[in-house]
Amino acid sequence: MGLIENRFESNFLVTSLDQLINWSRQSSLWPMTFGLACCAIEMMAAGASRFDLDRFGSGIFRPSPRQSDVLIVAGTVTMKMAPVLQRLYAQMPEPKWVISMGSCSNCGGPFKTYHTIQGVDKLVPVDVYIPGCPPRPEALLYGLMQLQEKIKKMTIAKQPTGGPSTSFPAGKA
Amino acid sequence: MPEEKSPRPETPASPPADKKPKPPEKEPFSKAETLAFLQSALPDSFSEAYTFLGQDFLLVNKASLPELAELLKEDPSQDYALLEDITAVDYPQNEKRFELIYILFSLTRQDRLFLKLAVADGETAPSMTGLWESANWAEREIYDMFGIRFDEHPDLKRILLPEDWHGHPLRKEYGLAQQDEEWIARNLELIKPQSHLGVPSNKEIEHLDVSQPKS
Repeated sequence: MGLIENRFESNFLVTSLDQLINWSRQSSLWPMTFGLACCAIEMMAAGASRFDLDRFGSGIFRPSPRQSDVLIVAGTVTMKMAPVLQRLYAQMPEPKWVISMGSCSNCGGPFKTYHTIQGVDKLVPVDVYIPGCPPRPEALLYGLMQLQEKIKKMTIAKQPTGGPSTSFPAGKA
Repeated sequence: MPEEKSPRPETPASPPADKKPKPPEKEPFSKAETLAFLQSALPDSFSEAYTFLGQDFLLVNKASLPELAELLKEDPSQDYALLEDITAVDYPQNEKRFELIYILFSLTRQDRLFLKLAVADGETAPSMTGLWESANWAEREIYDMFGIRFDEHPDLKRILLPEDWHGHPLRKEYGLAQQDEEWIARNLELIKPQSHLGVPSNKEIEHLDVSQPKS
């Protein structure tokens, strides 16, 4: 998108294309399988038939960062896991989003100790924070819908301001 | 309609001093047969034997620990076949600041025995991996958390923290929220905290000038 970014005002062509692109992006957010702790159980419940992430086009958990759009950090991020998380995030193709699920990844949770990153937003830029310990599947669904609302506001004519995915260095991919 | 307040229930007076529950005390060692067996087989192997809150402890001398452990495991009258766990405690005020605790279990008698071994800082302890395979990871964890080294351990390296981490977190001098900043700087690219959605961060609020109203 480098050719057209920041070169156009919002006009008929841009906004129509925006609608189409944003609609397709928000309707097929493929999450990466990244369960780290008990939040992963709730994430699995959200993916199963009762709550059914597939209704939002997000049921396809990918085993590879190269094929996923959204990183759901579901659980405690330990120091040993932190470099892995950064590498996996760097390996995801643009555009990419991050959902921080649960207190542990939001702020470290109860683990204010030697081994836990105090908030995953120190490692990767987070789009949506979901509170809870662990959050119920409904909370994850709501967080996902909030992310869809955020994607709806994106435009190809402008780089997302404060945009997580653009300000982050390439990392050690 | 005014409600009639029920009289406050009288707070029970604190029990008289002589009726306060006494703190638990050490009792004589409850396993008489084990004690008699050890006293005849290895008389100088332990300095004290007692029972505390229903658990049986032996304070073991370091030199005779391997011999004693082997006897407790192999002798059919004792048969402590399972080493459940090895753990440690840091008492900085003690001359030998660390205390290793070996938890043995007899599968045939459903019976538990605790061995305690005092170790000074920098001192090594004998490895139990030759007797019990389960000692391998337990000793690695103790090395990781306390920095106690074990002689003749086949693979003594950190088990939980990254191998190039500095410090041993369960030592008392290690801060509660202390982290290895050097390791973090070497391995992670941290994002500087930024104010979200125009809301100033805590640090910005500290320096915020509120004396003049915004025009």
